[in-house]
Amino acid sequence: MRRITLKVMTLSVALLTFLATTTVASACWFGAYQPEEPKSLREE
Amino acid sequence: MSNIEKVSDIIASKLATKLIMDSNEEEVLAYGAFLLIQTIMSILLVLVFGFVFNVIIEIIIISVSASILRKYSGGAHATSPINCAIIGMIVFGVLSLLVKQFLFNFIFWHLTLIIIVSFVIDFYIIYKYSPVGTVTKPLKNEIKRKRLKRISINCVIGLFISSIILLSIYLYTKQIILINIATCISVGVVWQSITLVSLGQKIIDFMDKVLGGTNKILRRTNK
Repeated sequence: MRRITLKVMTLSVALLTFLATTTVASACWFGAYQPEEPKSLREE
Repeated sequence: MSNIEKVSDIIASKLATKLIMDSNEEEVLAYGAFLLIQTIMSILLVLVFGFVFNVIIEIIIISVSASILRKYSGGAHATSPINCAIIGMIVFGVLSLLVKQFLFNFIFWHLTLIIIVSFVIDFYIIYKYSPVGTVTKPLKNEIKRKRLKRISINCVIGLFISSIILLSIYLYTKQIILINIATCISVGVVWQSITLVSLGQKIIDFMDKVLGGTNKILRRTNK
């Protein structure tokens, strides 16, 4: 059970990181609200 | 801080604690979780409206074509994620109902001309104003701005060609759905172009205010 939980969490981290990084190259997210982008993802 | 942001922070905090991640990584996770929740909520609201008012095809095509272009051209923003989802549902819903209601009042060639003219205007707006950044995601890098403008223009050209192909196929097959799809693509692009100019900003600001938004100006052209 512990192993499955860990796998689910690792997959969740991969998915969320993927989603967050896909917005770096775009002007905004698909919707009409743009949250503040994390500093580590900002392109200077 | 909105409820969605609070939930996103909780999810990110739990994952970061369990998998021993630093604060920067946790911030990225919270951002990703927020985008995921907001997207699911917006899609659900749009689908519910589509099913209730029997405009599911129209609302999906309008929202998808506007969203694809929005990703690269930016535009006016609401002040909260809930307002964003509701405004999206209302705007795309009303546009879908209008397409469904008035589509058959037009002669095919008139409609084709309207679609072509609207794409020409959209092209001009995208060329002149995109990309439009926000305070929360400014677009200061000139190389990035040029790339986003180029992608936005390519998106409009791609959507225009798709519409023309659909209208051409209609001439041979007489499948009404093809005109419906082409019109919806055009309407989605028109709405997205409007959000790049002050009229779109005013419409979204007004709706945001009615929905209890703070009326904080989020638009920023970075020019």
